[in-house]
Amino acid sequence: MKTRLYFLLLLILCSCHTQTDDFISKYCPGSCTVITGRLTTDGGTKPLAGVKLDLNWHSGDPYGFDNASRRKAITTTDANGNYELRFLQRDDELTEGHFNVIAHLPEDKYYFCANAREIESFSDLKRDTTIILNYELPQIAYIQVKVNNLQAKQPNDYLATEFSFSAPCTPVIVWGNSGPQNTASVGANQQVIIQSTKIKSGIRTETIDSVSMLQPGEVYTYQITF
Amino acid sequence: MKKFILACALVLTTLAASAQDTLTYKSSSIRVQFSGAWPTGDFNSDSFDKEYPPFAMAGPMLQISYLRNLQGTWYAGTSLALRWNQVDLDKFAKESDALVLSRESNPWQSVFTMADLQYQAETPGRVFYMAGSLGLAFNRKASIKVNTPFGTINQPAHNNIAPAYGFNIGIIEYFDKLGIGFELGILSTKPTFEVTNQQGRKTTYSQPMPTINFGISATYTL
Repeated sequence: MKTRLYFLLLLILCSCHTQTDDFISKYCPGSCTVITGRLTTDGGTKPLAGVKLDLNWHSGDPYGFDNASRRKAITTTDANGNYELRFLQRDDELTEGHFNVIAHLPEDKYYFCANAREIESFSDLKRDTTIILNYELPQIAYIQVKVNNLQAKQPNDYLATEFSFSAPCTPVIVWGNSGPQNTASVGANQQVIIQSTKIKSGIRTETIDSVSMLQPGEVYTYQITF
Repeated sequence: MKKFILACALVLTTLAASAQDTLTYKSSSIRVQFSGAWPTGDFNSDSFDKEYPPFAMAGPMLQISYLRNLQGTWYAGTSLALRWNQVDLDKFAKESDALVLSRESNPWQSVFTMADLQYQAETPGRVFYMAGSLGLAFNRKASIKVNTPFGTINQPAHNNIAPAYGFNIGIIEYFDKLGIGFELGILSTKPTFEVTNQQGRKTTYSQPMPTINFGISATYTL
């Protein structure tokens, strides 16, 4: 029993995550991979200047043993939101794991599609290659949706509210029977299309509305009826 | 920090008062000092987030000072200090790294030419002092060269002159005209260096270079 516990402890210790700073990659001496583009907000109309961007490499299985990550490149967007991440891929990085680009902006103020401020993930990148990545990070406003008569929804009925705005991903609320109210994060300073799809007793109806130029942090209340 | 300075001032004032009748060092002196210089603050950084982290390590410092009595327990003089801080190349790229074919570096170097003002408290055979210094530092940025199968990372040296300041406290035990002592201090400068990146783009950046110094000194009273 004791031996098993020691073995388990050893396994846990061996499975530690290691992060290293790859300065050779950062000052790429040749055969560089380049990710370049422009970071914008407010429907693509405003550049995001002075934003720190990180490029990291992560080994294959985030929950596996010998999990490793490397910081590969770092840059800051210029006054026009332009950036360039230049780095050197090591041999193992050509075949294993993935790269991600992190934008150092507050997650409660900017609309990210993934966790941990990741804006894009890459695998199978090649050396001596340039990738263009223009990316939009909307500032966050909120739409609080209240559904009237939601208690009438039967198991075969369906209700969903979709929000469209200028961003790489947009939210959808699929309504169950649990609550008549939900809040979605949407893009501020731009037009947001709200599309509700309802299937009630086999009859499908769609309603489309829009709301324009919500201020960052503003909460807008919107009502639909089932 | 405030408490420490007040305590130092109190000790020095007490010693000065008790030594009013036994002042024996009202002359000029030459002091040679050998110290260790430990980079602190930004000079100690190996952060990936900095565009050009200095990777500075602890190194030696040699200082020669000349002091002359001004009045009472106040002394003024001049000093010349040479400081070397090697680059921690292992933090940049380990020799065992598969991408490293060869690597070399030259240290951060500074020559300080300073004007010193010193207040000292004297007891028979012993001197406590506090000194402040202002002057110029002739600085040389560390160089780093790493050869890889994909090319060479070359960050060459660059020189720059910048204002410098220092502050130190010490104690000297006298054996006739020769005194042996210990000194603790800080010496700093902030030069601007030019660097050229791998794509040939030139940029300049300011690099604070403060070190905390601790060493042994030999003083000869003239």
